[in-house]
Amino acid sequence: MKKRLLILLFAALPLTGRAQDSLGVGARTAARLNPLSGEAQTLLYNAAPSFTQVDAGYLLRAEDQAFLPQEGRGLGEFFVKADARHRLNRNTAVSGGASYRRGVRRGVFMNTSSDWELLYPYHTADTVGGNLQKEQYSFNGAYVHRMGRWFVGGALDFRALHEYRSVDPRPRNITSELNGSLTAGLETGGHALSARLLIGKYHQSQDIEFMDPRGHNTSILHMTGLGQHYGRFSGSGSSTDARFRGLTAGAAFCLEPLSGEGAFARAGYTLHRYVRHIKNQNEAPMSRLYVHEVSAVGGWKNGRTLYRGTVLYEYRRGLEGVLDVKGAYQSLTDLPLYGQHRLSARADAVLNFPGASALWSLRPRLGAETLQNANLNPYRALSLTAADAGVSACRLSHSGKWVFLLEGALDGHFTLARRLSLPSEKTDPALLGIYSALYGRWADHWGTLRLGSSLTRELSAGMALNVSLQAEGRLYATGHRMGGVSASIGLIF
Amino acid sequence: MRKFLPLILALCLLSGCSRDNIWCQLVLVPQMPEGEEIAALTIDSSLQGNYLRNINTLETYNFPALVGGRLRLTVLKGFYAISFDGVAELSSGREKKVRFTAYSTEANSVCLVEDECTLTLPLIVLK
Repeated sequence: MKKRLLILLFAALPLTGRAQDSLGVGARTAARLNPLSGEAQTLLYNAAPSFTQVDAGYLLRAEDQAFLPQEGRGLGEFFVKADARHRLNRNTAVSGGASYRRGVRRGVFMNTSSDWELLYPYHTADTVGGNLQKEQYSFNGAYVHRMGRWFVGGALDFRALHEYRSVDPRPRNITSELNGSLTAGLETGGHALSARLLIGKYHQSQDIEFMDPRGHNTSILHMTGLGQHYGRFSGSGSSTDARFRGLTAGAAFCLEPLSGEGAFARAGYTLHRYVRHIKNQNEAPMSRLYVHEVSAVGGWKNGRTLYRGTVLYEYRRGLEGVLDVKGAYQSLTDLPLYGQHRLSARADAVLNFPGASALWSLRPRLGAETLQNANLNPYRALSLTAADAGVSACRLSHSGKWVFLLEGALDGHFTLARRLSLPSEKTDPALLGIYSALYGRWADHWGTLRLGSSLTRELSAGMALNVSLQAEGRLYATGHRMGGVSASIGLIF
Repeated sequence: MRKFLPLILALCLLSGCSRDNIWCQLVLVPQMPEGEEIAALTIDSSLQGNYLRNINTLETYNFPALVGGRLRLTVLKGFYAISFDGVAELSSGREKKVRFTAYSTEANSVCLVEDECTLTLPLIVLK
């Protein structure tokens, strides 16, 4: 543990003390906490000053009944992380980060895979569930350099995750993910126009064991769409071990103002491909999932306000392999059996009101989302339309050696329509009951209240101590509840 | 257009395009050993030994009625195990107990991945 912490600290230390900003650490912290900072996509045009921050903390979240049982109904996690962003000179900026997280995901149900949100509907599951121990490392870095009117940059992002359970069924999932991007751009007409290429690789190796001498307490299911599963390889033997291989490719274009004030726009397309293999059956390619993501963001900002609109479209297309029976386990053809369209539109604003002793800020937001989800055989369908609205308010003050941020947010989520079709025909009655209840929750409405504070005290001209506290509570219309708190302490350079 | 074909194919492969027809129009033609014409075939799909089962999804299908000497149904493309005992009513009016087991296990299951498939089922007459 000590060694891991040292690695994280050493990862951040090379970036300290190189900042070209002449501001003290208190002023830099206040500028960074301003809700208007951080909008810029290119490091060079980020108005927030340089910083390095190292934090350690604890995060606790619990629900009385899980909204997404596949992710668990609770999380307890210790973390230590280091983040830095520095402008080395007028034409060069770098950023870097590292984190270590160790904890427990509680009450994970109908899922034994890691990264459910990436991989669904093609994950493995069991009907017993339980807690999953987790340990995650992540590292990231980015560099951008300007040459005249042109600038180039690159970024790398790596994550390693280990999740396991020490009672039956005992999944052990080892995940690694590496993403990189290259950016090239041109400054023209008061704006920077840039293009970014993304590429990434994902791998998850999953082994599931049963060690109870009294016998196996469940079967492992290779899930497909909306509660269906690939029956041939279900059970508790070696054919339940899976491997997920993923590839990511994408491109994005970005327009942003050089001065930090004016119109900005971004648009991008990303394709993820995840193939699920059965490890002990000649790496049989059981299913392929293609996730197409299209995003567009546009807005305008000046020194006091920001208005932004965002549209996201995601299409998940799942293909199941027809695996041969002669022992080679090749897929003779892939059948497109699953599809999900998700479209969301969102508008938000940041309105800053500078006062004599503090900066007040309001962030109203409004959004809508529609989702169409279908499994073709046997036919199952789920459609959902929802809207949400919320507002955040914060007060930021910098007085002497103290920087104090107090914020609160209130959000409401309203499900306007939900249609669920899960016919009992050709479905295991137990699974039908589980998934009817699981998707039944999706018709719920809820309200969320968040409160947070951050207190920073300058210790010297170049160093400050930061303590942050956040609390969150959610109440569903059906009476279910969720709560969470996080606390961290750290140093800012 | 032709010069863009490799690019279109590459994009198609990358994005997961494939033929969208997931169904196979299956025609089963039961055949008596002596070639007698079958007027009707009764198969009790509720019996465990009588099945038309997709090997990968384990989905089972009921046997339809014999029409014009053929059983026609639409199935998901895949490998299928087929096995049944039934009663064949011949055009002469006689009834015979028959059995089909040529595709009864996973190892000798039949591959149905074309849009249309016709299978001849040579029946065994039970004493």
